[in-house]
Amino acid sequence: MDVPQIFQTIEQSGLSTWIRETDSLFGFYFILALHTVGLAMLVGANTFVDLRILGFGSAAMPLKPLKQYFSIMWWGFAINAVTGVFLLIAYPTKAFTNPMFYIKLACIAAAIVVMQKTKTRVFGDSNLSDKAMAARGTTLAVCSLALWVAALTTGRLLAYTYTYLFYGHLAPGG
Amino acid sequence: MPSFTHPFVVWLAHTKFSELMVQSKWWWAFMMDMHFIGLSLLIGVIGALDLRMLGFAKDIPLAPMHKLVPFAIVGFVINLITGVLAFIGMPIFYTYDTAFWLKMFAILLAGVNVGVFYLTGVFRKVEGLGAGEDAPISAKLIAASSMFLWISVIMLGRYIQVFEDTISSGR
Repeated sequence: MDVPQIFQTIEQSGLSTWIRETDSLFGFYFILALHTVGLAMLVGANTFVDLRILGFGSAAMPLKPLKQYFSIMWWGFAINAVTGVFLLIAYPTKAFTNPMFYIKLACIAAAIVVMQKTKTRVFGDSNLSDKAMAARGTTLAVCSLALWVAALTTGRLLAYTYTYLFYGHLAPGG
Repeated sequence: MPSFTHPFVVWLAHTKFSELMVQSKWWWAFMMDMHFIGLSLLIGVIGALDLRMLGFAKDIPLAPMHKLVPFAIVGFVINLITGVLAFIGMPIFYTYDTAFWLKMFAILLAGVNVGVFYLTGVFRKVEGLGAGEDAPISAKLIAASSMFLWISVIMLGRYIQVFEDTISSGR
């Protein structure tokens, strides 16, 4: 299958070129840095809640108030969705022709589904005791942790598995 | 850079261990992957604690949250190990990179911040913070500094690639 021309069009746009080639410190690496901060918020907050659901710190930490952490997770996700789009505008061929990118998105989608399911299943019924709440989330918490590790791993692997750096340009050594 | 660093860094770059670190891109990818997992553990726990001191999710008592600090330490240790191995793998690259040293400085400051928290009695003041109780201003300052420093560490880490070769080797 030929690489769709639209990627070249995007890469030749003013915005895409600016992100990649600007001398400003607020170009590509700034967007990448914000993407890392977003993941720290999203994965960090979800990890904290998962650990509590799995029983760590449970002796005196009420579970109900941890529902507030989902807002942090959604802010982290929002930051990463926006920065992610800008990263794709900068290097569309590189990402969209790399199967690893689609695996990463699938892992994230699954992790978000688990995250939402955790919110409704564990924190949905305020009449439940903390113990009952946690019991409803054990499998979800384990899946959450595993999926975020998968998302981080596939994300990291993108830099090592791409075929094209730009439309028509293979990766160095490729 | 002091002039004695260059011969040391060049020597390190030519050791078998250094070459081993960069031999396989999959090993490098694995180390960097662990580095991100470590940061997630660190930020997840320390971020929650800092935010609590700053007033977020105040209905959680502080002491049980603090019980999760070992996970943050595990995260930090993972990053310390992978960081040292990465440095050994590419010593010239990191030594002459401004962003790398700024990142190390930020980590040092974060460490000093931790020291201040535990050694000046601020921790003792917030240890018993119950549901709904506000942390004293000293704790808020430390928590805000902690958040600022760790976010700086993350961002500076991403800029290491940008600031390659920005320090003169003084040869």
